[in-house]
Amino acid sequence: MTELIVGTKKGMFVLEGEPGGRFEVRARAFAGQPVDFALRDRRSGRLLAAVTSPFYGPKMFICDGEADGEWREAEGVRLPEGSGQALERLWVIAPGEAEGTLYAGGDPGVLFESRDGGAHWELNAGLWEQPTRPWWQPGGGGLCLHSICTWPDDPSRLAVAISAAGMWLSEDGGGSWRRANRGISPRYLPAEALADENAARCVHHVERSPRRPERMFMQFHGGVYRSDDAGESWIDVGGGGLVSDFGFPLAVDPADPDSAYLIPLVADMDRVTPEGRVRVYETRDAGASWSPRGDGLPARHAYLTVLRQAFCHRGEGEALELYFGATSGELFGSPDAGASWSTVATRLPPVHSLVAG
Amino acid sequence: MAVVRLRGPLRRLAGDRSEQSVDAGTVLELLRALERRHPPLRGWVLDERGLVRRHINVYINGERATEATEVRPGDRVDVLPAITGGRA
Repeated sequence: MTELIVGTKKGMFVLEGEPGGRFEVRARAFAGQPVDFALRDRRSGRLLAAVTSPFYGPKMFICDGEADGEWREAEGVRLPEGSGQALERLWVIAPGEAEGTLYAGGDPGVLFESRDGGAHWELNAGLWEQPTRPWWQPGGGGLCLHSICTWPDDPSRLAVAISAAGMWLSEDGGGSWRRANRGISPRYLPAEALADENAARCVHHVERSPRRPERMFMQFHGGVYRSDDAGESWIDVGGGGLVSDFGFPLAVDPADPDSAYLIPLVADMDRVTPEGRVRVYETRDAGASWSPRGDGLPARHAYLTVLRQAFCHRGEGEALELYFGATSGELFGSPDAGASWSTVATRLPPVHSLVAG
Repeated sequence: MAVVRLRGPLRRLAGDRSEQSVDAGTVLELLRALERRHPPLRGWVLDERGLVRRHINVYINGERATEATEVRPGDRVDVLPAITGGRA
């Protein structure tokens, strides 16, 4: 049985079902409120949800029971008073490598860390106090820290991505940070501006291969990149058969550093699936070539939008399960690493995030 | 002292009391005093900048107020979620 934790515009849903079959809604929480990201920490069983009430602002909530049980607000998810800034939204929550550690990323380009399973959080000072922060440019969704890549069994090595302040690396557990944008070539910048490290690098999503942690994949705002040196440099792998190199969702197969999956959208001015067809693109050769995988997905007049956190996986290798959700409220799943797909659920609110476990 | 009235989740966070008396000179001081009295309320009405959140309205004796509006003894202060029509 697979469990899907779904963050939507109108609450959080827990679905369960067998891979390849239809899933059923087991529970709903935060009815009516936008849930930007939610997951179950598989180490503790605890549920965590990032909720941005239009009235009461962004909050993190945790629950040790079922999703329709009692939730309590996590402490410390806020910016320092007197900074002149307010937390706008939480975009992602990611388990860390050390026992009980979790990370959360948000707008304005901030990282929080918890060492007690999510009950208490602290703002990462190293990133917050970056001297260049006043020049960071927000993307269309704000100055969002949306990707957090840990390094298997090494809590000291972290990578985060901020739209549009680019990639940042740390080798001391987040104590200090440095940029990592070499090789990224935004088409929306004049060539002269590339030398300006503060010019916008609109990274949309980054994932690390756990089997070979130096290998990372990046979906950029126009462009797909790969790094083989832990993010120090990036090479363009956005040719080779992709219908478009614009998009947000990205997943990797934990078993194979050469395998990754994208769901391209037409372009920044038309953020829907190209040609009215829903397709997941797969590479098995580290981005040298990409192939569409759409067997079982809508193939005619289907203009879906899949947001950056709405694509996830469970398992690995031939048994890799893939799931994604659209703002149309549909969920799709594959039980066989993308070879075949089916509709997992329909008529949900617009899907913001999806985590399988 | 002013009498503050809270509704919905704000009331629950403030000890489940629909009305309570607070001694303060301005709306900002009053809301800060409420946060000190009920720590779970912190961040729900005021953001980190000390601004009333955009979709929260504060009324004093039925008149719309800002953070700097003066509060006098006996005033009735309502803290309410705003009407936010126009979005699904």
